[in-house]
Amino acid sequence: MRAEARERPVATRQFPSIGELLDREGVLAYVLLAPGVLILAAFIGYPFLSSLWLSVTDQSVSTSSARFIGLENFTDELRSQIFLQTVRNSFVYTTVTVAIKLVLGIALAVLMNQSFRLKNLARAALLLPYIVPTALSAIAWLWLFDATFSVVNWAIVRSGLADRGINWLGEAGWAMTAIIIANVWRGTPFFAITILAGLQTVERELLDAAAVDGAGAWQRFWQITLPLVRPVLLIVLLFSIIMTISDFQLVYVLTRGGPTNSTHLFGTLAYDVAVRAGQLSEGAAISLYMFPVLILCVVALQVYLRRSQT
Amino acid sequence: MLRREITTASDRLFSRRRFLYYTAAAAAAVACAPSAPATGAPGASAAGPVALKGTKVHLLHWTSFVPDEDKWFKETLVNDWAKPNGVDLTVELVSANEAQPKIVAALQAGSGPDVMLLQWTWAHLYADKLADVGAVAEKVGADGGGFYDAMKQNAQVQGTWRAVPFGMLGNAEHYRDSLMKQAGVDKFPATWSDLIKVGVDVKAKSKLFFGQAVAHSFGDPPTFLLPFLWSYGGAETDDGGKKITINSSATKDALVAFKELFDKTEDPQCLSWDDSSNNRAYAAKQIWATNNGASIYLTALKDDPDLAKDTQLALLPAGPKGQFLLGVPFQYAIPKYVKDPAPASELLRYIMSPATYGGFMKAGSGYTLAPYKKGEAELWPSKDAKLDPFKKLASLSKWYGYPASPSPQATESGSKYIVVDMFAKVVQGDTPDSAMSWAEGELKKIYKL
Repeated sequence: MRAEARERPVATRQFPSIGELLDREGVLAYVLLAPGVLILAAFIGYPFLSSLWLSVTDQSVSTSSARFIGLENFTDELRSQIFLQTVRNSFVYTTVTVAIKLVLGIALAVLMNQSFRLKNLARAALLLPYIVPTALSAIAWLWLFDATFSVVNWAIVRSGLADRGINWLGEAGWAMTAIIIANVWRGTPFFAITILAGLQTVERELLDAAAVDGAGAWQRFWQITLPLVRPVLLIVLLFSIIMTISDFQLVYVLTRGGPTNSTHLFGTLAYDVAVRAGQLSEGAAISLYMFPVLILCVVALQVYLRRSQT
Repeated sequence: MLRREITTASDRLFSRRRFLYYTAAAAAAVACAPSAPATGAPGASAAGPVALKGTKVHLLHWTSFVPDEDKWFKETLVNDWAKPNGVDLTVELVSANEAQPKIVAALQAGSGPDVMLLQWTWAHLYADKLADVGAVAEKVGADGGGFYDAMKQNAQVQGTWRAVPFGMLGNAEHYRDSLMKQAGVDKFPATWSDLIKVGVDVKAKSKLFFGQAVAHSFGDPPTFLLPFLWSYGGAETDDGGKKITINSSATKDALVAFKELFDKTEDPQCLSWDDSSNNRAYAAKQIWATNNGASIYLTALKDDPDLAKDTQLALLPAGPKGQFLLGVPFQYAIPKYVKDPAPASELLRYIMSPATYGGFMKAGSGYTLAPYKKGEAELWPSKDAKLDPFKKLASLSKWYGYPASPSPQATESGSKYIVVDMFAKVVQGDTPDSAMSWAEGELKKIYKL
């Protein structure tokens, strides 16, 4: 190496070749990171910054140029009963579905962590609702909740439980229940499989030792298993809150925000306003109202995780 | 720095440095590859005849509820116009609900279809991004005996034609004649109050209800509820669109009357219906009457002749202020981003000329109503007298925002289903005053008044 270096002209030594640069760990790290960063910047960063800009302008599909109007779009929304109802709907929908998915997810994960025949098949089947494209499963749910041809209503009436079926998508309370059921069906596998992965890291010896010391099944779960999988649970919760509060497809296919806006979420209302009504900046402002809530969730979970790690 | 020794041939081939070299080389090769042949149409002379041969036209159209209409675009139009003229015509059919996201994305990106089929008052919403198609529209209107007022209102924005009227989907009451006669009534009620009486009798005898959607859906709910509101003298705004007038005694009368109609003759499930729910319910003989385009009757003619035989059609009844109707209007627009609009304009001239349009109407059995008077007067394709009510529909139809001119605000109100939800709230138990107050608040925000 030294002999070769001596033979090279001084000028070329001042500008290292690409190969030499790539041999430096610091440079290589950035080069390898670059594709991911570029993709994130193009598909998440740019749209996010665009929507931030849109939300403080008066841009609509009908105008060619946008004017800066500050926070007017945000304050204007507070005058709208539809928006305030959407905020309420989003919190009810997110809180209830995430809570149910968490309980069901833990129960399913514990069940799937046991040894039984066809365990692998059952685990694979568990993922089906999560694998099926949401638009397709939403159409299946639409038929299940159809006012005239619902098989659920048919079963209710035929079994004598009621004289007439439930007005699933035509009554505010039932419509919210319907979208919650569909979301829980779709989202529970995500909880179950992720928590199952966490459960499998819990050392068997710990549980056996606790059993020898006389701890019952519930005590072992509550005192040993749950604390050990808590970091996984928190991450799953965080992801689920983000995905649920920004839900769109399921709700739009089932109710389009109706009846009387009782199932509008941030995403569905933003779509109606931005795309159907052409008010792009107003739609951006509606969707950005989610952002502070999500940031709070992320920060709270991060703080909790750091504290529990120390 | 730790360095791993490169010793073997495979190490030399797959070292990280070499991997990056290969990746960079591949990316450079892709970037430097010759671009695809330009697809833009050659410029056409403004003065001379349009050179169509070798041009490309992309038409974004809706998927009709009558499949023969789609077939006409996919086959007849291609064979009769595109092929003889040497035009590479792409007909993209999308459902009514899918069309708007595609159109908005194309207009914002400045790239997409050369001709797009707009609905409702969208020409007013996208006016700044649509080319002036006055030359085509004026010629089509003149050749067709003049456009109907509603078609003109929707396509012309402040005196400039931003779209060429294509046609209208009209809704009429489809009803089971035998069930009405069973209740002792020979003719479909001419007024809303009579409809309530008849609806009660038919429901009592047949156990079937009057099926009218009162939900978030693009066609059936507004085409029933807006005319209902207007027929009692209610309206969202005054004539100039400068004052919100929804909170009025006329609106209250309409809400009270509709509540009675719904409670006595309908079923709560109608609060969740979309535009196809009533089609299915009527075909399954679950309802005795419903407001819909001719697709219900035309489908029954093929699938259930007995049901078709028993089906009669009538226009909506009148209220104290008269009879009002609202059809779903369609218009063709050419976006400004189209560099050479000449081939697209030629396509529109061809489709909309009475000779061609007559063939289209025949293919669809008159499902889409012509935008101009000659359509119903001379081109009407059906000898079936049951479809005759549709002949009057386009001439009687109003538009979103009536009595004011169509506007982006009227479109936003429609997109948010303000009037539909005002009626739905009352049906669900809200008081008329509370529902009107809610609607007034939302409209003031939309109209910024």
